[in-house]
Amino acid sequence: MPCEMITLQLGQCGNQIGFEFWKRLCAEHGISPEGILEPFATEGLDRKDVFFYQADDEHYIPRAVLLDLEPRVIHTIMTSPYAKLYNPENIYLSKHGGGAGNNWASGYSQGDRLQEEIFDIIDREADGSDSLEGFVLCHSIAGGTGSGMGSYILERLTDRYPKKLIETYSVFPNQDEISDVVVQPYNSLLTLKRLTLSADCVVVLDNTALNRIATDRLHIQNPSFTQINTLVSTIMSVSTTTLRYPSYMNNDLIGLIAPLIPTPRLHFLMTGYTPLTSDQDEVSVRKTTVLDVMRRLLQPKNMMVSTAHDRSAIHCYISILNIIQGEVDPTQVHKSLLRIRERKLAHFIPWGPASIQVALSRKSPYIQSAHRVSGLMLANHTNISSLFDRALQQYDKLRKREAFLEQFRKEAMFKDSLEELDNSREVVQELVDEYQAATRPDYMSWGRQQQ
Amino acid sequence: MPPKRSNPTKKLLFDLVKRLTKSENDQAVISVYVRFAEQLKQYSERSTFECSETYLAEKIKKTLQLSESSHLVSRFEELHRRLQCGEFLKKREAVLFFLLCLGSSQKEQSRSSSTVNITNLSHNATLPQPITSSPQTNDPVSSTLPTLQVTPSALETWRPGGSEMSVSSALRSYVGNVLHTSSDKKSSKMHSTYTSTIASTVLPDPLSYGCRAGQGDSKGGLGTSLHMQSSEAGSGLLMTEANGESVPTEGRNALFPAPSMKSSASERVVLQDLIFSFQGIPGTLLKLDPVSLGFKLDPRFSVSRPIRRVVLRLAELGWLHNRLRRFCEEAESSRSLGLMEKSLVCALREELTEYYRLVAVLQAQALQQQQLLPSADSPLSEEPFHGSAGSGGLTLRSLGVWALEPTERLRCLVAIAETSKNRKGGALASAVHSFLQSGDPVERRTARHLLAAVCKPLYLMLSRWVVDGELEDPYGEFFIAADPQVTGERLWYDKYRVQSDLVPSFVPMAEANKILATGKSINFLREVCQDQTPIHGRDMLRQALDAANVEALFTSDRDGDLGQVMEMAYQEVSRRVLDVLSGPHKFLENLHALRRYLLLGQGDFIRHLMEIINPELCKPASHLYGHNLSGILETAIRATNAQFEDPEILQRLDVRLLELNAGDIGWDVFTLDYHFSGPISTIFVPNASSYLMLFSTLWRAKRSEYVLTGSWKRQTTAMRMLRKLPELAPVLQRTHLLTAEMIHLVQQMQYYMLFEVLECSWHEMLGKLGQAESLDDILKAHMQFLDKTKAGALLDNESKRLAARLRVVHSLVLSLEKIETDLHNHALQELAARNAHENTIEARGDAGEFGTDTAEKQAYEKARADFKKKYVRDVLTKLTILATDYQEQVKNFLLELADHPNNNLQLLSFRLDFNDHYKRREPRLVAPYTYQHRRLSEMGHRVSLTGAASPALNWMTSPVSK
Ligand SMILES: Nc1nc2c(ncn2[C@@H]2O[C@H](COP(=O)(O)OP(=O)(O)O)[C@@H](O)[C@H]2O)c(=O)[nH]1
Repeated sequence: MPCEMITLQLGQCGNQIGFEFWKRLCAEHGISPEGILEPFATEGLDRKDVFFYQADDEHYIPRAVLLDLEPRVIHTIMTSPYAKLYNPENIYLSKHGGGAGNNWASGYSQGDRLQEEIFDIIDREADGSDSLEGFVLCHSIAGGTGSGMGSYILERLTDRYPKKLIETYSVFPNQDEISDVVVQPYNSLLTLKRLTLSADCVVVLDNTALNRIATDRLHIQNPSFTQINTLVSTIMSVSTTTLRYPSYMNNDLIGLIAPLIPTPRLHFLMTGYTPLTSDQDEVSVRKTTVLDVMRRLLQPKNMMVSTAHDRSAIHCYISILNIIQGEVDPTQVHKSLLRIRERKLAHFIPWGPASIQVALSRKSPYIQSAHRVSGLMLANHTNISSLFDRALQQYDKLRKREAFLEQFRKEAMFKDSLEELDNSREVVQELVDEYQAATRPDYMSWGRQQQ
Repeated sequence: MPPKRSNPTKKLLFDLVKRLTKSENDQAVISVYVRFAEQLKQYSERSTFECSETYLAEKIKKTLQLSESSHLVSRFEELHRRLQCGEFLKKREAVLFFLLCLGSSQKEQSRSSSTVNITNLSHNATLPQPITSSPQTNDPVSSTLPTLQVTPSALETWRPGGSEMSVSSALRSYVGNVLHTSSDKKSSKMHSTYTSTIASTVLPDPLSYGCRAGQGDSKGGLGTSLHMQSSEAGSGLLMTEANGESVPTEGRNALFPAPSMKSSASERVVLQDLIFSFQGIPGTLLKLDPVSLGFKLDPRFSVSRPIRRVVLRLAELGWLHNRLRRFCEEAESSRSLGLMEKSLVCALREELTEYYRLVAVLQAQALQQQQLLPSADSPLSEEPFHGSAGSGGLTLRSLGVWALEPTERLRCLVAIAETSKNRKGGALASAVHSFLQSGDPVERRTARHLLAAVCKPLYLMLSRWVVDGELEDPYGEFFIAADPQVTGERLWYDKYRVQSDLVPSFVPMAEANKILATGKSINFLREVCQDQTPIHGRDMLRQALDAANVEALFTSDRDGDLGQVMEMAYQEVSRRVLDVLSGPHKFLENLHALRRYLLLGQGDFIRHLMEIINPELCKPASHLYGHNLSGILETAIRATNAQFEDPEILQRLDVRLLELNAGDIGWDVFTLDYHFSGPISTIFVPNASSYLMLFSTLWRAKRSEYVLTGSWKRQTTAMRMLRKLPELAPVLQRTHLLTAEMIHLVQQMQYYMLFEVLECSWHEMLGKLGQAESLDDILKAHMQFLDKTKAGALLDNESKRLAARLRVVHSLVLSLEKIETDLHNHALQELAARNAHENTIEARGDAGEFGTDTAEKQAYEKARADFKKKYVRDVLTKLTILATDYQEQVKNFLLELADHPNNNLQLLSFRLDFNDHYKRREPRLVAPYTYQHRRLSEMGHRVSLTGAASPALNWMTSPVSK
C-alpha cells in the first residue's frame, strides 16, 4: 500500500505521546489492544495500512519503532494491555539503560553509537512497506533522548532516505514551570537546528499551551502527562485523518503539508482544536456549527502553542488548513469563510495568495463523540518564531553565564569547541529572521538578501 | 296495406289510389296515397261553410288591400274569375277559405302567398322543378325548414284546442320569434328556391309561382324566413322556375275560387310521407336529394306555405337520419376504421335502432288511426295543422310534437358524428367529449353515452397497458405509441411516447405521462431488467380496473376511484423499478462507485494510480498499450482501498485511450472508464460522456497537484543538500514561491470543484434520490447533479473561455515543473562537481601533492562562474517570465470569473484570492470593474439614459409646436 508512514518514538515524551497516539488509532480503526481487528470493523473503508501493517488476516501491527535509552516508559508500555500490539523487534532499549540524563549531547552521541542497531530496525521497517512516504518522529526537544538522539536520527534519516518526508511531533517544554532540566535551553536550541534543517514539517506541541488549556479550559488541576497526551493524541490522530480516511483531497502527507509550507524552512506548524470538551460545556458543544468551529480555531486561546503576544501586529498566517469532522454541510464552509473574511478574523501574508483551506474529513464510526462538528487547525503562522525567539533568549541567558556546559563538554562533539551551539543559534536566529521576513511584502527577495 | 272490409270508403279510396297510381304492388306507396286521400276527404267532410264564395272572395281582396298588396287585388280577381269559369273545382268556398286562412296567416311573413291545392294524386303533368327543402349548405342544421318546435313561445301559443288561437296567430308569434331570435344572424348569399305552385290541374296552363328566398346561414335555421320576407320576398318578386327561367309574375297571391275543395286526404299523405322520411324513405311528396340527403317537396304538388313549412321542418328529422345513417355506412365501409370509431358507429347504430323503434311505433299508430278513422272527414278548420288533434289522432301537429325529441337527439348525434369525422383515438374521444360541455342536458346525456362507448376500447387498451404494459393498438388510436426498434438502455427514453394529439382532452398531460410511465416501467422491468416476478398489487389493479366504469375515465373527478387506482398502479410499478434497480442491479452502489473512481472520491486509489501511471502517460500516446495501462490499473486497485470494492463494480472499471491527435502524450488521451451493463445503463449510458468529461477535468487538476507536490517535495528534500550552494538561494526562493502560488490555486480550484460543487450537489442528489418515487425522478436528480457539477467544473458553455484559461494555467504548471527539474538536476550536478573537486584536492593533499594546478583551477572556477552567472541567472529570468505570465493568467482568470453570469463561480474567485493578493496587484479586480458592480451601475446608467432621452424625443416629435 502506498504512502505508509513509519513512526519513530524517542525518549519518555516521545513514547508516551506515541502510546496515546496508537491507543487512539486502534480505537478509531477498530483494532483491539492486542492488534486484532474487531469484528465490527471489517468493512474496510478506512486505510489502516498507512500506520499499521497486517501480520496476518486479522492482526494489525503499528509501523512504529520505539526507542529509548532508559527502560521505564517502555516497560510501562510492555506491561499495559497494548503490550502485544507492537512488534517486539521494533522496540529498542539501550542495553546501557542509563538514559541520556536529559543531555542532548549524550542522546546525540548515543544515537551515533547505536545507529547501526537502530537503523537495522528502521530499514527493516522501511523495506516492509511498499511505498513509504515518510517518517513521523515523536519526541520532546527539551530532554536528552528525544532531543539528542532524535536530532541524530533526523540527520541520518535525511542521508539515508533523502526522498522521504520527515514530519515530527515535537513537544516544546512548559515555560510556566521551573524545569529541573537546567540545560533545557541548550537541548532545545540544538534540537531546533535539526528540526529546521532536517525535518520537512514540524508540528509544534507546546507543553505551555497544553497545560494552560488543560487547567483553564478543561479545568484540570495539575494535569498529568496522560491528560495532556490525550490532547496530543487528538491532534495527532486528527491531523492524520485525511491520510487514513481517503477522500478527494489531502490523501497523502505531501498533499497535506505542501500547501501549508511555501518555503522549506518555514515548516513549523501550530495546531488548534475545538471544541475542547469538559463536562460543563458539553451541551453548548453539541450545538457547535461549522462557523463556530472555524471562528474558534482562529482564537489564540484554542491554539496549542503559547506564542508571545504580537505587539507589532505584523505577524500573519502563511497558510491555514482546517480539518473539519462531523456532520458538515459543505455549503456551510463557504458561508463561514465569507464571515471570516468579512470580519477580518485572519490576517494573511502580504506576498502571495493565501487562504483557509478546508478538508472535510470522515470520522471513525467506532468512536462516539459528543461533538456534532469538530475541527483541527494546522496553521503556519509567522508568530511561531516568538517560540524560537524565546528559546534563543533562554539560550543566550545560559550561554552568557557559560552555565552547565561541562555536561556537554563531556561529549566528543563539544570537547574541543562549542561551535555547534553557536552554529545552532545561527540557524535558529536565521529561522526567526526568515519568519520575520515572511511578514513583509518583500519576502520574495529573502534569499538574495541573505547572500 | 289493404283496408279492412268494414270500411267501404276506405276500400273505395284504396282501389282508387291503386288505379290512379298504377302501383298495385307497392303497398307502402299506396298506403301513403290512401292516407293522403283520406285527409283530403276529411277536409271536404268538415267543410260546412256558411259563408258564400263571394263573401270569401271579398274578404281575401280586403285582406290583400289592407296588407298593402292592393296591386294584387286585380290579379286575384282575375284568377278567381278563371276558377269560376273552369269546371274543375267544385268546392271553391273551401278553397277560398283555405287560402284566406293561409293568406292572413302569412301576412306578415310573406306577401307572396302560395296556394296549396293538393288534389289529383295521379296527376302526371310535367311540373316545374321540384321544390327543394334541403339545405344547400353543409351546415348540419341549417335548412329552410323552419324549426318551429324549438321556439318555446310558439309552442306555448300554439295550444291545441285553443279556439281563439288561430294558426295564423301561431305563425305570427313564430315569425315574431324568428325575427327576434335571428335578427343577428347573418344571411348568406345562398339562395334556395322556395317555390310554390298552383296545382296545374286547376289551371290550364300550369303556373307555378316561386319566390326566391334568401336563405339564412344560421345554425339554427331560424333566420331563413326572416331574410326571405324582409328582402326579396318582401319586394314582391315571384318567380316561376319552370325550365329554369325566372319569370316575374304579377300575381303574388294566387287564389283559386274552389268552393268545394276536398283536402282532407292531404294531411294523411303528408304524415305518411313524413314518417317514411323519418326512416329515410322518399315518398310521394317528399323526395330525397341524394347529394344533401335532405328531403324536398315534389313540386308537382302544391302545398300551402304554412304546411310546407311544417313539413319541411319535420323532414329535417329524415335528413338528420340520413346523414347519420350515411355517416355510419361510410364509416363501416372504411377499411382503416379504428376500434374507437367502430364503437362510435356501433353506438350510433344502436341509437338508430332505438330511433327506428320509435318510428315504428309511430308508424303503427298512424296505421291504427287509418283503420280507426277511415272516414274521419273533419273539415279543414281554421287551423290547418290542427287536423284531427282534437280527437287524439296523429296530425302534423302531433307529429311535430313527437318529432321534437328525436330531432333533437338526432341533431345531436349528427353533430357528434360529423365532429368526429376523420378523427381517431384520443382526438375522437376529445371531439365527443367536447359535447359534454354543452348546456343542453339532452346533448350532454347523448354525448356521455356515446363517449362511454368510444372510450371502451380506449379503456381496454389503457387497462392492458397499465396492467401488463402491452400495447394492443392495431389502429394507432392509443395515446401511447411504441417504437419497436428501440431496445436496451434507450427503451426508457425513446421506445414509448405520449402522442399528444391522441391524448383525450379529459386526460391531463401529467396523467398521460404517468400512464406512460406505468406501462413503460412494466416493459422496462420485463425487457431490460429481465424481472419476471409479479409486481405487487397487479391482480388488485386488474380487478379494480375491471370493476371501474369506463365513464370514470372522463368524469371530471380526477381523484375518483379510477384516478386513485391509476395513481397507485403508477406508484407501485415505479417503486418496483426502483427496488429492482437499487436491489439486484445495485444502482446506488454504481453511483457511489462512479463518484469514487471517475469523480476521484477514492483519493488513495487516484493518488496511487497517478503515481504509477505517470511514467507511462508521459510517453507519446501512440506508444501506449491498453493492456499495460489495464495492468497498472489493476495494481493501483490491489494496492489501495479499491481492493475492498465489490468485484462486480471493479469489473466495470477500466482504462481507455481517447482519440489520438498528432503529438498527444499519454496524459492527453488517458481516461478511466466505467462499463455499464444491464438496467442501470438506462441511467448512466446517456451520461457516460459527462462522467468522462468530469473525470478528465478533475484528473487534470489532480495531475497539476501531483506535479506541483512532486516539485515541492524535490525542492524541500534537496534543500538539505543545496545549502552548500548559497548562490542558488534567490532562484530557489523564486521557485518555492511560484510553486506555492500554483499549489494554492490548484488546491483551491480542486476544493471548489470537489467540495463546493460536487459534494454539495451530491448531497442534494442523495436527498432527492431518497425521495424518488420513480425512475424519472432519479434520472432528473442525476441529471441535475451532473449539470451542476459540470458547470462547477467549467464544462458548461458559458465557461468555455474560463476553462481554456485554466488549461493555460495547468500548462504553466508543467512549464514550472520543467524549469524546476532542470534546476534541480543542474544543482545536483554542480554539487557533485564541487564535491568531486574538493575530494580530489583533499586526496592530493593527503598524498602530499599540490591541490590543483592552474589550468584545472581555471577550468573549475570558470565552470562555477558559469553556473552562477550564466545558468542561475538564466533560470531566474525564465522563472520571472513564467511567474509574470502565470500571474497574468490568474488575474485574467479572476477577471473573467468576476464577469461570469454564474453566481456560484463568484465563490471560486473569492477562494482563489481570499487575501486579496491579486486584487492588490490588479486594479481591474477592484469592485467597480467587476460584474456585480457593473451590472448595478449599468442599471443606474440605463435609468439616467432614458431620463435624458425623453426630452430629446419630445423635441423631435413635436417640432410643429416650436
Ligand atoms: N506532553 C508531554 N510532555 C512530556 C511527556 N514526558 C515528558 N515530557 C516533556 O519532555 C521534556 C522532557 O523530556 P523527556 O522526554 O522526558 O526526555 P527524554 O526521555 O530524555 O527524551 C519535558 O519538557 C517534559 O515536559 C509527556 O508524556 N507528555
